[in-house]
Parts: sequence; C-alpha cells; structure tokens
Amino acid sequence: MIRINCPWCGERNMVEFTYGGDAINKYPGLSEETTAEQYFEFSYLRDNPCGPHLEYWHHVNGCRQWVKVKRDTLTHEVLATGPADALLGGEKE
Amino acid sequence: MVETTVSRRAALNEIYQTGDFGDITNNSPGVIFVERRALNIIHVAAWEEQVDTATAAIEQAIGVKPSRTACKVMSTDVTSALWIGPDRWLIVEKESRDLEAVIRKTMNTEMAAITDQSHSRCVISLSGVEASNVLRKGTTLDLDAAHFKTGEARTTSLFHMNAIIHCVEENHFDIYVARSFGQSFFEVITHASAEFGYRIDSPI
Repeated sequence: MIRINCPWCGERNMVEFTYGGDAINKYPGLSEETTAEQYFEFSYLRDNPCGPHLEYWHHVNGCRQWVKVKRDTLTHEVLATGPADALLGGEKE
Repeated sequence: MVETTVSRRAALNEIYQTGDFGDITNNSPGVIFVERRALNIIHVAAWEEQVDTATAAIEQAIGVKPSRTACKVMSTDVTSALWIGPDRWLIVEKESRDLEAVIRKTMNTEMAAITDQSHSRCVISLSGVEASNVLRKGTTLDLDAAHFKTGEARTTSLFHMNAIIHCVEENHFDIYVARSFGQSFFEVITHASAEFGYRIDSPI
C-alpha cells in the first residue's frame, strides 16, 4: 500500500487520495502559435518510465489539496512530495 | 399564502433508538454512541493573503484563535474551531445563537469565505474503551493515542465515507459525516461495534 506524505496533513494512506495525472508534461501555452499537434502531444502522448515519475494526487478525503508526488513506478516507493507547484526534479521545460 | 415553519430534524431522528445492543458483558458496553444534535457549523476559508487578519477576527468573534497547525482543534467551553485544511476551519458549537452572524460581525468577505454548514453534517459522539478499535476497522489512520492526540481532528475515509474524526479526549471521538450518509454510517458503525457491545444514549 502506498503511503503519501501530504505536505499539510502528514503521511496518509493512498486510499485518501485520488490519482490526478502525469505531472511531467507542461500545459501548452494559449498563444496563437500553439498548434493542435502540441495539444495532441500534451493530451495523449505519455512517457511510460520505469523508475522515478512525477504525478499529481488529490487529497480528496483529507485536506482536499493537490499534491505533487515523485514515485518510483517499479517499486512504488514515494521519493518526494510537495505542493502542486513544487519543483521536485524531472519536470519538462 | 400558507406560511410553513421548518423545524430542525436530526439526521438520525427516524432510526435513533436508545438502549443496549450487541454482545454486552458485565453490563459494560465497549462503545457508547450519542448523536450531537442541533449544532451550528460554520465553514471559514480564509484568503491566503488575509489569513492573519481572518484568524484575529475569528478570535474576536468566538474567543479563541483557530490554529494554522494541521489537524489542531482550538476550543473554548462552547465553541470549537477544527482545522480541516490549510487556512480552512469548521467553527462548531451547540445551537444557542446565530453563530454565522456573530462571525460576520467581525469578518467580511475580503478576509474569508463564510458558509453556514449547520444542516450538512451528522455528528456522532463515540466513546468507551473500544471506541478506537471500532474506528480502526474503517480507517487507515494511526489512532494510537500517542499519535492522534486529544484536541486534534483529522479528515479521512471512514468506512469508505468522508469523515472528520475529532479526538475530544482519549477514547472519545466526535465523527462528522455528510448528513445524507448519516443513517448508512450509523448502521455500519453500530454493526462494527456489536462484538464489543454498545449503548446508544439519548442525543444531546
């Protein structure tokens, strides 16, 4: 069972959280230069890393804050957590 | 035009039955349930840059400053302020005055969002030597008294329902669940208590 260290509440079991998606990809800008291909890539194309990965989790049955989690997809070890805007290393430019 | 008066009705009103149930030995139930009725519950969510002003204003209104420490409950004899998230609190007291008006007297919407939640929750008080063991059946929280201390409240998933557990004192918890889940929650938690024997006392 994964235990996630909520930056506000402390360590809690994953049953209190809902997975909220990949935190590596950066939302494409809203400028006119942004192409459909960039949105396609953002929406559908995912890396599938074996090892450390960045994810959003929502502490839905807790303080209801969004948490960024660095988790090893192979061992499920939670390596780091922080508020949603924290830089945990590994984010795409 | 016909005028109607809506009187307050407790969430467990239809099913609440006082008495002893389950496997009680030596006339000592392991768990005692009491529904806490007619509570005023005000949700206050302070704007990030106004938190200090907001907590000072709440203190002026209810006589105690809500804590910014996670899970901490600050209480006076009549009112409690439960931390339920960063810069968010539930202000709770037995219905005796217009609590929302009292709070709005010292606060405004520039400081925080203030919402009356008085009718939204079913609050059940759970005490007795087996109280924490009953809760352990339904939550992943560490309920050890050294970790979950008196005067703390944690929001969690309890029997798959979102609940706030407030440790009033050792082996005495107030459980807040959504009102519409009240009967279902009471059913599951009394079933979980049957092996210890339980008593349902008159609501307060």
